Amino acid sequence: MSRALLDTIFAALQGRVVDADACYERVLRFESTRAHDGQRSTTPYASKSGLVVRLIGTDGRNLEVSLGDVSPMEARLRLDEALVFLDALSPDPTFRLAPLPIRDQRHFGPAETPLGPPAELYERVNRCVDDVEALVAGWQSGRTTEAQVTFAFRLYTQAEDKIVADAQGLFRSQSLPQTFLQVEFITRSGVRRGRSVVRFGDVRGLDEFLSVSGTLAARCRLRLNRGLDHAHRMLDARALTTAERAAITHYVLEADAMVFIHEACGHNFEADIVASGRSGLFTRDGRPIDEALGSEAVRLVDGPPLDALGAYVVDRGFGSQYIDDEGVEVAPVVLLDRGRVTGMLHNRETAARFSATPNGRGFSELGQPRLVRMTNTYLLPSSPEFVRPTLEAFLEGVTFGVWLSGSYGGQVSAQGMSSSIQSGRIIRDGRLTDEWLLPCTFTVQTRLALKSVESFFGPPEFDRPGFCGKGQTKTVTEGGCAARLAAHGALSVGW
Amino acid sequence: MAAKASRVRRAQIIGNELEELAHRVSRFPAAVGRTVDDVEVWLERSSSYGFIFENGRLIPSLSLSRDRVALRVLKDGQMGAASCTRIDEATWQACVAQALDVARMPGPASFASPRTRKPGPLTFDPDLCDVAAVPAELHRLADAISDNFQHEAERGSGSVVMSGHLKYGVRRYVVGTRGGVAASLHGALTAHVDLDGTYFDTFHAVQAPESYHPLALLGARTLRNMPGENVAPDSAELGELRGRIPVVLHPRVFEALLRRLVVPMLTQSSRRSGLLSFADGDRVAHEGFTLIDDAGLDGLSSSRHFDDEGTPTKRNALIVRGRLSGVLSPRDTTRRAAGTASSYRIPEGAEDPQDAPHRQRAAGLLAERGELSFHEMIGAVPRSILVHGLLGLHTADLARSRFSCGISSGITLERGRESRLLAPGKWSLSGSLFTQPGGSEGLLGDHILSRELYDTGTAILPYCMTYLEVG
Repeated sequence: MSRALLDTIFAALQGRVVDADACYERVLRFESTRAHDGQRSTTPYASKSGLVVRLIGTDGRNLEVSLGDVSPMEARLRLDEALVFLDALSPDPTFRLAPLPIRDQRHFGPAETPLGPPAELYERVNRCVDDVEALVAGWQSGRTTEAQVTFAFRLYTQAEDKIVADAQGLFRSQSLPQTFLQVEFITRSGVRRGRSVVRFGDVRGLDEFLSVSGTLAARCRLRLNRGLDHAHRMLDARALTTAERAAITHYVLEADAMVFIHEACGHNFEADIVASGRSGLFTRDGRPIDEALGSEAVRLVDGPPLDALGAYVVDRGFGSQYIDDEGVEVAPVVLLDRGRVTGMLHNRETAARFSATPNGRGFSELGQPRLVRMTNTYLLPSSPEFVRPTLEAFLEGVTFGVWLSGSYGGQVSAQGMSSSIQSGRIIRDGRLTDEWLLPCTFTVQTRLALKSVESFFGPPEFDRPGFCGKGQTKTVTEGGCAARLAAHGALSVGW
Repeated sequence: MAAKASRVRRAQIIGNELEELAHRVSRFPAAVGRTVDDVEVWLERSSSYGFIFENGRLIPSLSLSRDRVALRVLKDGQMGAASCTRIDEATWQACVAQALDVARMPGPASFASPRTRKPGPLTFDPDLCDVAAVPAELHRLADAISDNFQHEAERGSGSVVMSGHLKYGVRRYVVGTRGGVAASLHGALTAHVDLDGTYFDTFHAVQAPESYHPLALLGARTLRNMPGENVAPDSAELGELRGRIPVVLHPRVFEALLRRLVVPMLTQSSRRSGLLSFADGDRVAHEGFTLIDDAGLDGLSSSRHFDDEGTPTKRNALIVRGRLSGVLSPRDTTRRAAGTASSYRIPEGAEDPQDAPHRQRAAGLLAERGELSFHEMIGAVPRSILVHGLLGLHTADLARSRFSCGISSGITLERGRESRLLAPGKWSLSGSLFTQPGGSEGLLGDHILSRELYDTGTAILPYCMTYLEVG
């Protein structure tokens, strides 16, 4: 059906445009939620498709049109409307597309990604919700606290198929499973409130998060317990005073607080943002504002996660895909190495603009226009010399610091970034104390964000999934190793 | 003459298309047969035509008929759900079969009985459509906005990063059950211009203006009057502008805070889960504060004739003179409670609307105005800041009704006059909406509202002056 649809489109466009390409996506999803009031809701069968077609006319006129989920006949009618729109455009002599590095007819990913019967999924997911309810009940019964706990649960598991084709015969396809689970805990004691959110996600099926017997996997339960504990700690947590904030010597960010890497750094390496002049790190013509954007310790990567030996694992990572929505294979991109700029994220249009090779970052949300997007972005030590073997060594010399964990998300502008941190702890004289801090905002000035990274601790973590905005939603991951940053004027926390 | 005829045809096509959609939806529940007790079809078709501005370049943006369909079935008191993105009865039948297979959620005794209300100028103006949905007309307007704004910006600073968009969007909503069908049509022309991320101007209209010429000067006229200098919170020139200081919230910012931290709290779901500890009649805000959910406000793109269950909307008083008046609640057939007709498929996180559960949310927000004029209000304090935009509000903490955000756009006010732009990336704002126990007063507890009301496109609200933490 989808092949027939694409054939119809290219046949209909023959002789009417200079060139055209298209991306068709189809998603089958099972989705289930439970609200804080206990109300459960399930959509066992969600079928969605989208088609985006890029029309290239004479004199660089170009238009990416979202056609929706259409039959071949509807597609013809809508293309007629789009061609009228294309004709109304002014010439764009600057428009070019970099050639595809590889042109072939190839399928990526598993041959099939069956979801399983909805009725079976329903039983399995309901059991997960029951597991979380039991976990909360067990947690409460094991403590003397009077705190009440509620939780909200959201899980989806899906199979996505994608085809990228063009008028010259390109035909590349991809099948990819994906599962996402989020639990939000809210604790209440009198009028006080605490909250934490725990997320899991990967390009795998539901089995990835379940034990052999079908209960929530032990690693999930472990992190959920930690989340519950954090939400409870927030009931007695506090904010730093103004004087304490002024006295901060260091910030430590755990891997799950690395949304700041995505916001402050990653977006500024997206070449469409660079070209528009809105990057805080590059001039409009692609030159770095400062060659050394980070300290010597910094290596910043966007791409598949790494295994224990440092090799890329292409079928892991919530933000991973084999090919982008222009048919280009997604290549790992080292953005910064030893703090210096080494790469940028490109789709075909920006690659042409900056005389670079496309590296597979042109993504769209189900038939929307393709934009430059991140995949999995992580902060690593540039060499082992910057990794501390123990927590004591990592915190040595920190007179008064804050240890920041978890994130609720963030937002970036050219000059700065603001990310919401779930919880914090005070570090005094090299020791991580039990003084808990309320959720806060971690703010950085983009250009100086990574200048003061001193050292890292622990193995890299790549399993902190998220959803990036930019007008369309894209799955992403942020992560890496826990990083220690010396305080300076460009970093701040607020309550 | 021919062009005029062509324009008129466009509005007619959109209107006829809605009628056809409503007809198809109305026939479907009967066609499903007696394998189910009832079927509800919710359908949203959206399309948009427009341009993105980028430093003088116009990037076309065209989305033709993006369809979202959600189906719910009732069988023996149990409910099932499924969704798709295609308007096609065979696909819907497949969805119904899948939904029936897992119809194990407790459902209402029956779905609503939607009734068609004729789409009127409240939500769709053919005159606006006839101009704004014509590619050549839209291109001309986009070109003029981009040119004028770019020219004015370059006159001031020379080197600028200008972005924005002009878009005409049309949405059709249809809800049908065996009890009936309701359909409505919504169209809005929106524009936004942004300069260096620090200054912006917006336009929103659901009805055709007398003339499109003023729109061509969007941003350009107001930019002339903007202060040229930036200021940081620790600036020596202005003295310390940190700590708990007077802050004026632009109605758009005020609305964002109300929608993120107040409205979701004032729901039956929050009450059931214990998040909302106030009872009806409790004092929750300053006695001058009245907040209404009004889905019938003329000129707002959030106005709706019926909610996503097909129930005719009405005015819901949420807070009246500072006291909690009621919460948004769903229809409850077992208790024969009509609810507040405020069930919408509002997505959270990365949900799609067709898969989102019905959540209780406000359509249009309306707050009672204050007694002081805006200028009297800002002249009453020697220094304050006026906040036009916040960065990162989506991460605010609903449980504690607390926010801590960067300020993306704002200006300082001195003796009632605009003085400097807030330096981008250097300012933050935090506070809570409801008063925290042992903490400082919440925004709703202590504020001054302006006499002037402002139409944000989805709310009609005054400016709000209050004390918040600035850093």
